[in-house]
Amino acid sequence: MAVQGNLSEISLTDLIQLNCQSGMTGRLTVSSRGRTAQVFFDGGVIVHVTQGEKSGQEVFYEILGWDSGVFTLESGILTPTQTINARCSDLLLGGLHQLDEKSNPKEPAPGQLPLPEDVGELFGFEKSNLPETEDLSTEDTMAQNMQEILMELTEEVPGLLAAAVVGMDGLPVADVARGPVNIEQISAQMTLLIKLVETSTEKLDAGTVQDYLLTTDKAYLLLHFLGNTQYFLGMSADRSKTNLGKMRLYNRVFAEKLIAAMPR
Amino acid sequence: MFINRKRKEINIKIVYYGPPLSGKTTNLEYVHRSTPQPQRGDLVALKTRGDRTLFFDYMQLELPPIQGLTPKFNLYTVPGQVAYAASRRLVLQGADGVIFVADSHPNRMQDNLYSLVDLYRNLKNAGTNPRQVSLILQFNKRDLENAASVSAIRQALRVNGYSIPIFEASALRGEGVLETLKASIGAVVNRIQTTGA
Amino acid sequence: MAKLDDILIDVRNQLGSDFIATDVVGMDGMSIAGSSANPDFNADAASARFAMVMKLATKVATKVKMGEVEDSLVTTDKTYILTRFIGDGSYYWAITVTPEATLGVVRMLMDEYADQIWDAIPH
Repeated sequence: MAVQGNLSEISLTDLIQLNCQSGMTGRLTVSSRGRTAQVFFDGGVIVHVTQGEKSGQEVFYEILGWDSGVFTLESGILTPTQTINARCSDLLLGGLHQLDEKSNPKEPAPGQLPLPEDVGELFGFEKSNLPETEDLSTEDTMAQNMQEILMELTEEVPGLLAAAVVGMDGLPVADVARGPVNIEQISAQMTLLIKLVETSTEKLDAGTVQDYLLTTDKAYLLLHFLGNTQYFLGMSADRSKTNLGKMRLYNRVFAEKLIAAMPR
Repeated sequence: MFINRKRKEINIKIVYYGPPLSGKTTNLEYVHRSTPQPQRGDLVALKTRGDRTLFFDYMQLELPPIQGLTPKFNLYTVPGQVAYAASRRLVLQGADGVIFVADSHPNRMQDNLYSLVDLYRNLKNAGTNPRQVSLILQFNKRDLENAASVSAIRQALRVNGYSIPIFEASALRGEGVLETLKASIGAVVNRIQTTGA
Repeated sequence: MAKLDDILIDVRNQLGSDFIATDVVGMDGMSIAGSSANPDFNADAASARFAMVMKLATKVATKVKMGEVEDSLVTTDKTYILTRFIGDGSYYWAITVTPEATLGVVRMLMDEYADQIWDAIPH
């Protein structure tokens, strides 16, 4: 009887490790994106790995990177040959090592990405003092969802310095920022600016303001009204690290997401 | 979580996460020492450039079967250093429960926060829903003379105003370690039994 | 200010049907040159108001330590209004175009002509 599963339930590394530790003899077949590989165990030791014409340690290292697909475990099947001569732990170690080497060297250190103000809701924790009135909880949910959306934004926009959803009263509703940033002060300043821009264009009959972009020698500051709500999305990014076209695109896309997250 | 119907086992994955040197490894070593032989597997340490990723098998016989399957707990921890992002994500893939080990030393508050936010990002990158990992917080090193207060650490982690399971511990002295693990196991099992996820 | 007017006519021609208005304005709010495709467009009011906006933008950028302001872009449902500081920052140059205009092209034009405009201003 074979055991079948999906790599979304268990990673290949974990699966292989389980088999090594349980002393399994048999064959593990993995299929991912049109490719198929086989790993043969003998008493918990990996003795042969093959993919198509290729076999051996290099194949093992390559398949460890497969993060989606299906697998089948059949015990009792003996290996046709031996192409691997190393301990399980050494193979896994080598494999992880390779994965790390191959992974994006530009991946930012934990301290370099912008930080959210509210971490509790990222993990779906319950608020400890549940509000009585319905209005309050709607506002809470709104702020929570916006916080999540802003977190997503920080992943997408390279060079992002800060992002906030600010009301026309100048107060931030949700925000993420890199480093020590006075969000209240910045939000108030941005509101002043956008209000002035609004009044000016209105008096000139130039239409309704949709967004405002300020370019300095160091950064871009982009303010975008969230539909006809009383809020706008403010984003600032390091000019040397970001691309204006991308920033405007994401600004539009995320503004839509934020509008959708607002209560009607 | 992975179900092996042939062996009638359900493999549950619990990961210890946190900033470097917060005591994740100490936690695991204590659990390993305290578990009687037949119930535990080997503590396997893969040495990577002076840092360690630990994997080991851990089986608790006292727990009744979950939906007819014997629960088998696999406990993992990850190295704290940034360079190992790919392997950290791999270890978080399929995690059912996460125990976040925070360092109570007053100088580590920022590291604690960065690590917790990093956990969120890596879970997402690994395709695991951060809202479904039964996250438990352990504030370790309570034995330190100048240990930050629980509320100070909550503040630093930006989780104020939420109901969160928090366990105080001194892994070096073996205090609070098993309680934290039991809570994590309990939360995961409860979630599996109520949602089947 | 003939030379300045010539430059602005040049720019206007290059923008073709996308062009709505253009102005070179001192930071006191007074326009020194400009033209507009729409005779009803109140250029003076526009100049004064946008001088205020640029002043505030500079203040804000300093307060939040963003560096020195170079230009700003307002997008409305009817127009794009691009504004940039000229020379030593004592003047700004604004161009208003229709939403059909290609922003990249307009910015490129402004980059090209900014220095010429500054040179054409007596100082």
